[in-house]
Amino acid sequence: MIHNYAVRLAAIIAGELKMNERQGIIAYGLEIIIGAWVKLILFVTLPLALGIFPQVAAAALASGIFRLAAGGAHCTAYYRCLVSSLVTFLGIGALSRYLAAYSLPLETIVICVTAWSLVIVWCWAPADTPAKPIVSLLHHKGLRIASLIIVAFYLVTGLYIPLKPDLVLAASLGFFIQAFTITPAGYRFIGIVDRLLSRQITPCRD
Amino acid sequence: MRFKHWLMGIVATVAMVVASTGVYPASAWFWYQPELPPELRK
Repeated sequence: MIHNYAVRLAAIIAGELKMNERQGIIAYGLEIIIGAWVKLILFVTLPLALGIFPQVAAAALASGIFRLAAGGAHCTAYYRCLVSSLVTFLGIGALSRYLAAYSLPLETIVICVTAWSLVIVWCWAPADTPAKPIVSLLHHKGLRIASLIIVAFYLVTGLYIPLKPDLVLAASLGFFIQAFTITPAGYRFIGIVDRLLSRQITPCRD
Repeated sequence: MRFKHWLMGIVATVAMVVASTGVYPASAWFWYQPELPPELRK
C-alpha cells in the first residue's frame, strides 16, 4: 500500500517537475519517508499505551544502531515488517520490565551478548539483501569495521555507564536479536515469519 | 500554482536526498527494505 502511494505520488511530482528520469529515486525516497513516519508513530504510541516506552526505545535504539552497520534479514513487504518488528520490540520491552524485578547478572549478560555479537559480526557482517546489495568492497569493509566499533561501544556502555537494569536488559535483548538476524539461521527465520504473515510460499535467502 | 510547484520541488528534493545518501531509517532500523532503484546501486 505504501509502495503504491509512493509510486503514484512520485509519478505526479516527476510529471509536474518534468523529472521523469528521476521518478524511481523519488518513489524510493518517498516510500522510506512515509514508512518511517508510520513506524515512528506506532513505535511511540503503542509502547506509551502499554507503559513500556523506555524499554522499547532502549531495545530499538541498540538494535537500530547496530543494524545500520551490520545489516540483516528483511521482510518482503512493509506490513509484515511492521507487524514482526512491533511484536518483537513490544515483547522485548514487556520482558525487560518484568525481569527487571529480579536481580539479574547484568554484567554477565552484557559480556555474553558482546561475545555472541562479535562472533556473528566476524563471520557474517555486513549482511545485505537482494533489495539492497553491498557491491563495493570498500563499503563492505567500512560497514564491517563500523559493526565491530558498535559492539565495542555497547560493551563499554553496558559495563561502565550506570543505567537502569531494565534498560540494559532491553538493549541487550535488542542487540541479541539484531545479531541473530545477520546469521543464515536468522535469514531463514525471518523468511519463515515472512511466509507465515503472507501465507504464501516464497523463496528465502541463505 | 507556483506554491504547489515549489512544494513539489521541496518534496522531490527531500525524497532524493533520503534515497541517494542512504539515509533510510525505516528500512535500516527495522525489517523492511524497499527495492533499491538501479541508479543507486553501488
